[in-house]
Amino acid sequence: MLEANTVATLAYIILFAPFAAAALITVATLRSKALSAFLSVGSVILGGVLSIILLADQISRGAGAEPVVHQFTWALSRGMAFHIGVQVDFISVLMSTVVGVVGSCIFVYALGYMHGDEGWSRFFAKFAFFAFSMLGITFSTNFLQIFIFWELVGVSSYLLIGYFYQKPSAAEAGKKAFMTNRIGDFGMTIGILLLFFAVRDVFGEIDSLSFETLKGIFTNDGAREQLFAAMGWKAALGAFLIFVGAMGKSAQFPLHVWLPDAMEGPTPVSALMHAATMVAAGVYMIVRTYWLFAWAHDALVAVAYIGGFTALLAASIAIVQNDIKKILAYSTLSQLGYMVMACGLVGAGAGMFHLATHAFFKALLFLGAGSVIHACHSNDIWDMGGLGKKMKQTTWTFWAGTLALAGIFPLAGFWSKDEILAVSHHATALYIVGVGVAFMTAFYMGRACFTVFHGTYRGHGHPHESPRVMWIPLAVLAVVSIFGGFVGAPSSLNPFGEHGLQSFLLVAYLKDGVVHWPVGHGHVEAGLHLDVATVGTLMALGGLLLAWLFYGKGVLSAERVKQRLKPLHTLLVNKYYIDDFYLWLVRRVQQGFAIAANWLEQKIIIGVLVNGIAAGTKDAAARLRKTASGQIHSYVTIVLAGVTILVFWFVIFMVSE
Amino acid sequence: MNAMNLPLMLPEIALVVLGIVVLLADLVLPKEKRHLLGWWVAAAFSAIVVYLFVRPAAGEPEYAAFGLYRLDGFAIFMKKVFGLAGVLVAVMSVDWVKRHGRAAGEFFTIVVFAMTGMFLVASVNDLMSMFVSLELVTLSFFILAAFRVADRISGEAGIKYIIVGALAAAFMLFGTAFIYGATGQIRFDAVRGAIERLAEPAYPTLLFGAVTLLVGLGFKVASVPFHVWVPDVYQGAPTPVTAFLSVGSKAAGFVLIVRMLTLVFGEALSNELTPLLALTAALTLFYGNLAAIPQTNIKRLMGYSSIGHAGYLLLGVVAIVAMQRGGHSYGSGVSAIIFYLFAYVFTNMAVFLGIVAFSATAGRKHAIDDYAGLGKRSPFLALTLTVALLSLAGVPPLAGFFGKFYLISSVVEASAVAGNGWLLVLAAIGAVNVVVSMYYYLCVVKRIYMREPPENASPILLGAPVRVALMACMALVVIIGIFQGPFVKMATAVLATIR
Repeated sequence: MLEANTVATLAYIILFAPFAAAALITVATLRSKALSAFLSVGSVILGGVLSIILLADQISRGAGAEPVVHQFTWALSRGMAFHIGVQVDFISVLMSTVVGVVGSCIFVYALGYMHGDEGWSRFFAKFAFFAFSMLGITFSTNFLQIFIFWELVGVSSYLLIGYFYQKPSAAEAGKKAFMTNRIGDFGMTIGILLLFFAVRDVFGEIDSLSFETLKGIFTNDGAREQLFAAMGWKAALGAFLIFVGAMGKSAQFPLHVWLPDAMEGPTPVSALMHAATMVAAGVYMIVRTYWLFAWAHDALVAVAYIGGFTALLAASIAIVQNDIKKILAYSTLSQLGYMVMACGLVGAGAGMFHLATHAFFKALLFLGAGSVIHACHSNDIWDMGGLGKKMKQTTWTFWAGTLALAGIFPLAGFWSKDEILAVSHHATALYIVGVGVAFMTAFYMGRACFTVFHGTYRGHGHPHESPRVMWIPLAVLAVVSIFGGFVGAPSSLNPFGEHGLQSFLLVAYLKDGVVHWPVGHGHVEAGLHLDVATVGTLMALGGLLLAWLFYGKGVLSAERVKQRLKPLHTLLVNKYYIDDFYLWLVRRVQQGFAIAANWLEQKIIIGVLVNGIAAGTKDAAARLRKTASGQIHSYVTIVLAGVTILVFWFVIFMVSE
Repeated sequence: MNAMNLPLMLPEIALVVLGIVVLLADLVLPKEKRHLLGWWVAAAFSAIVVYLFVRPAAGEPEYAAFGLYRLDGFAIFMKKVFGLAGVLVAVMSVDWVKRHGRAAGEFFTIVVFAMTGMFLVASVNDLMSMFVSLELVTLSFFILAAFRVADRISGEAGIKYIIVGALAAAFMLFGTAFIYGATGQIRFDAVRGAIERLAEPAYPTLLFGAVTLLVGLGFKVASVPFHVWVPDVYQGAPTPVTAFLSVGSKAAGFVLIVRMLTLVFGEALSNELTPLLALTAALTLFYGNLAAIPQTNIKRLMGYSSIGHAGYLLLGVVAIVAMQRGGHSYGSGVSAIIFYLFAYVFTNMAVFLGIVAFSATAGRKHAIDDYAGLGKRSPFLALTLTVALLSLAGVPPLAGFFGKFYLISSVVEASAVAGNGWLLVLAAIGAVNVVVSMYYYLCVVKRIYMREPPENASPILLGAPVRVALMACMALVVIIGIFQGPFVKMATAVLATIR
């Protein structure tokens, strides 16, 4: 067990190393490609190594250890102090390990993928800055800090999605991501403020943004009742609005539209941000502030259904996608929906566990896709095919990721998906959704794999395996995707003890681990749930089998099904017309407002108010200027006049008293 | 209190010795090496600042020179600020003195004596030594402002400064005499004791004295209508001297205003002074910021800007007097002034460092139009000037924004505490003026980045010391802005030692 001070110092190093790298690259080493890459990659690897040390320390502390919180005052304002610091506990360390390890693999991979790119140093500076923002969310001690880094993640994601800014679609996608996220962030701001003022009203001048303080209030029955009595319906609203922030970042319906478009960024960016870390931020925040949701039942129910709906919606769209990155993007959406649904079903531990395993295999799949795209110079799976023989490393790792994602025993995804299905067992409708999504996931991933890696090559040129710097990270991620799930296995060999990783997560968000949910009581033992596991595995195998029949063996014809179900296919290809609906809203409804607002601004605000005041100000300025004539006698006159007025004022004051 | 206690005055003694050493060294050194005395002065100032940092912190106020001299946390803090600003002034003077090649030793000797005056101002504890210390500063500046005697503008600036300054000094002395007349005491604590026991008939005498004393201090800080000297002197004086003025005159003036209000007058005059000072603050804000708009000379612009900043600082003064009424805690006003002074001094120094560096290469060009295309001629200088100007304008997250924020919020607090709705109007005036000031600062920034440099423009070269000094100022401006916590705490800690 490390000293508290050491723990905090390590966390600060993990947090600030990427920032230092980004700053150094920007001010000093832009011209030296090698040095820039070294700084950027080195800082993230350092973070990964230190995170693993911290994780080992957390294990030695045991489940339910007190968090180490270190913070310093950032700003003071009458009676309010705002802090920035690090909170080190199991959840944050788990998250930073995911960011550090997955990030290291992706950064190394980027060395190969971005080879020869003109903006090399710029890319690595932004990439490191993103890692800093994400780690800032991870170690946040309070709502203000998490919000600041939340926005920084938004900015760096904007910069990286639009990295190929010469390409209009990339610039558009960057904007779309940023603006969609703004909607979520706006909700989050209001939610935080509601909570902040309510807590201050009830408890006075305490540090009412700090997670630990709020957790203390929410887990204390008396204090919580007092707060809820004062807040009334605003309590659930506040919790829901904070969740709206998570909906933006974790791309939950109806704010999911930005994520598929964000695939315009370079593939390492897609892997790091839009699969493994940034989109996980929403889920992470829900887990981090779970005490808030645990008692806001109405909010919790909404969370569960939104998650379930997103999972289903995205999985169904993924089936008809042809762009390999888009398939993975919708798959990510669907898996995020899974995690959110688990959180809503009082299974925050399951959600967090799935977040961790998903980060590994989804990063792996994206990097694999990048490797394939690199080789075929196309994103369309119908331009590929038969790559299994030409790209051995990519193929086996991609298959490993696919099986992990589908939830095949004993790969990583199996364990965490099993947890999620287990917690949803109590809510029948959502359980059916979960099982259905498991089936669809296996199907569309099988479709992608059979089409890309088997059969005959349909594209141009001669694809060949990517360089070593690209496939070694793939292999590392594949190994973790295959074996990583064991941390959730009920075994005495498990480094997290006999009850697995979940035993840490359960106590990490709630001391007693039991929360009552209106639909059913959620208290799930860690480990293997045989009934659920059987159903889940059968679904996954069924999905894969069906995909094989369609796309591997070819006994079933996808074309025929497509013809038969024409309307459904059109609906799916058009993504349920949600993007079109938003576009219509913007073009028709918002445009009207914009025209009216523009008129108001141009004619009234600028024409009358701004220019009028400016003209008046300039006129006044020109007059005042004349008072400084340069004549010394006029100066002395002004001073004496001033004194005279003062004396008069003084006399009048005295007389009036 | 009744002891000589000389060791306490070590920094001042060191400064006097330094002044004499520089003067003597000037006789010995060959002419072409005399400008190097600037480095001696910079090093000595740095040593004194280091000494002030390592010396054990003053808990209770300590006294020397039989109670004429008071050393508390506020005094030490201000001496550190003065000292650091002095280092920067010395750094920017070396080059200037070398180019003008005349009387280098005298220039630096007078800088050292002005610094001695400022150190004493931070520590004065009675009316007479206040006057003497302040005049030591002002007289030194008379000479420095007119230092380039051959130049008509510089000479004229000096003359104007002396005449208006003498007038202000007369009023100050006048006020001091009246206060003495009313109370029969000159030591601050004794005056305060006497005010508390003051008989009704003597009250007008005291008030009259206080008002005329504030006229004198108003001259130092450049509040309307005693600001008249500022534009001409800022424009005409050698640029390093102009930079020094913003500390020596303004910061020193505000130190004394805070001292007088907290140590001497207390709540006795709060009723009468609140409307008077509020009106002065409003006039100063409007005058400084509006009259800056049509300016075409950057040094003159900075002169009007400095009047505007005096207006902001007066907001804090108004908050102090308003909250003193009824014995409320007036801490937020004082700590806002301390925070603002700290931020302002270094931001202003950065701007003047930039002006000096620019004119060193570009020749004596001080028109704002000369800065056209600076972004291309020296990206570093352009960036630092821009950051400093934006901070002066009050753009978040730079130091200036939070300085203004704390000052305005202290007035709002005072309005609530004292139940005086008019103060909200004053706070609003402060906020409006931030917008006005944005215009003229951004006009400079616009020229730096959006205009093409003149045809035959050469790149601006910066010496290493100036570069380092600029970077240090920049770092402070950004760090104070982003991490105000430690600095606000520092201001609060300083505040605790004042009473």
